[in-house]
Amino acid sequence: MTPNTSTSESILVRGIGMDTRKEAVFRMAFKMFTRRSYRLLDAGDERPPTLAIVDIDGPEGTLLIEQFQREYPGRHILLTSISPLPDSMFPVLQKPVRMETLFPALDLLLSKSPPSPMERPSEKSGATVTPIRPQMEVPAPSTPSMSTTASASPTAAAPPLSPRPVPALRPEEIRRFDAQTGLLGQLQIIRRDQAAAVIVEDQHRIVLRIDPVVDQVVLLTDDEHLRSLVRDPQARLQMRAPSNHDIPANTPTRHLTLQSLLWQVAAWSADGRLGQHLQMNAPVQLKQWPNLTRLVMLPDALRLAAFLARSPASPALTIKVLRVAPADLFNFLAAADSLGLLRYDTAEKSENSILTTAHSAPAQAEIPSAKRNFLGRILARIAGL
Amino acid sequence: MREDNKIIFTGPVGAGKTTAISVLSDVPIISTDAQASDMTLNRKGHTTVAMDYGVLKLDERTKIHLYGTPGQERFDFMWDILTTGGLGLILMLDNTRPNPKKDLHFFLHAFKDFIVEVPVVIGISKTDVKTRPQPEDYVNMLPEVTTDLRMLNPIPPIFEVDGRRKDDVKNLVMALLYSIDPGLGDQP
Repeated sequence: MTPNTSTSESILVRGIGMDTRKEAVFRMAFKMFTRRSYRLLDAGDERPPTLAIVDIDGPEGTLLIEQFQREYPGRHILLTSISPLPDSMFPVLQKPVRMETLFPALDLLLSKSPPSPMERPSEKSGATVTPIRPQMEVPAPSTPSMSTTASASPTAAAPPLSPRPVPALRPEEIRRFDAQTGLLGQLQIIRRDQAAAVIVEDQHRIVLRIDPVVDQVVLLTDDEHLRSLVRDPQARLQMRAPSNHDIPANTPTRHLTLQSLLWQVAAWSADGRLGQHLQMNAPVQLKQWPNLTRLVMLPDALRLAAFLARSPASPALTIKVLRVAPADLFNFLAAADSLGLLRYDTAEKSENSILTTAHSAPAQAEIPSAKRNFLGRILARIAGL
Repeated sequence: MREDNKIIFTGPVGAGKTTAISVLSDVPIISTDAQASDMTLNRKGHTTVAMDYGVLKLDERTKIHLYGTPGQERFDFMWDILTTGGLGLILMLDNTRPNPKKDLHFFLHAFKDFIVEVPVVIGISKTDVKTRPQPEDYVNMLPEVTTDLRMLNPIPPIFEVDGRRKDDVKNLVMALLYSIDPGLGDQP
């Protein structure tokens, strides 16, 4: 029998195949989600879970599902994997997992009867399979299912994967934002002027102390509040010169680089919107790769950086070729532009203009599909480490 | 069909090649020690250099060989052999060394024929010990350093890395793979 999943009590979730870091991410996501109360069971908590989230990219792969089904027959199961699983009888949330689709997936899961524990993948009904496009970052996906599959069948080549569909985006659907306004605008002024400053909310509450010369920021608030300030057009933020008394003793603070703050705030500010100064059909180009190991990893950031560092391409072409979600591209462009890494033709800044082929990568022959498939397997293996 | 491919890690001694390879390798890393014969370069009378080797297995028959080159110039005869069949070059630079620009120049030129065909990614290590040069400084060095080079990716990824941090090493290698083909991973 399916356990009661009423919204009035906690829905107990067993995380399987996850290390403590991944569990912590889910735990945080559950904490932030208030419409329903999900609770990730701690190791050793013997209470029967309502559902399990199973990361099948580890060495034990799908065996974990069978073990869980034996122990808790009839419970709901949501899989996470870096690879698509077209034959899965369970819904699959592709990694990196995102909050925006995790909870709809869980809602959908709980609204249905779980598959029979005796049911085999080959007996799956199409209705139970709901591949879901991920949106919440999970920092470290584990071993991908592609390599696990290959291990089980050494002679099998990796199955060819269907490419993502090209995201449809009509011009009238493109939303715009002004990067010169709000907290992002203030941060960019501070960076441009290279003058230390504090950002104050409502005349009294210091939110940030910034020293652009040494690329350091002291945060006196948490990410959630910072994000709310970024997204609230009515937020009353002021900039002023710092003083010695800005940060009282024993005040909890966090430190990060101005670059990493700008990158994050720009992505939050964009919120899936294209900067006003960029055109969908005009080329953009990266001057250099962002230092992505020291910045929040935005979705598809590595691919986008590789593509836009190689040669100029318009946002429209980038979406078409890479099949990235427009919102992810727009957030990446905003973040890169906030660090001055983006070239685009503009009347105001000639030094920002697109470079000709002298600095672009030489034309490359199209990669044969077999090699592409092979590289994709390596990529999945590395991502899953 | 048996498929073997290589990823080459290079850079000066102490830049973190061994640590990075050990993060990726499915087997304990193998280091090949060799005694240098060039005594003039060695005031102690001997030195030991190591070629590191690790393996990333995709399945029982398919392996990615991970080679860490000896850092010293006098072993550069090995590099051509190592790079045959290589997918790309990961250049690890030690930010605490006296002249990282010279290192950048030396290693890019040492692999000049290789990086015409394959991408290079650059990892800057020990930035926690010495913060400068910063990654953008390396970016600014590149035009001068590479003026006589042809590179498959003239704008290479330059990341701060700590070889002990798995995510840093993973991102470095993933950047290499995406530099070969940004279209990788366009599956839903």
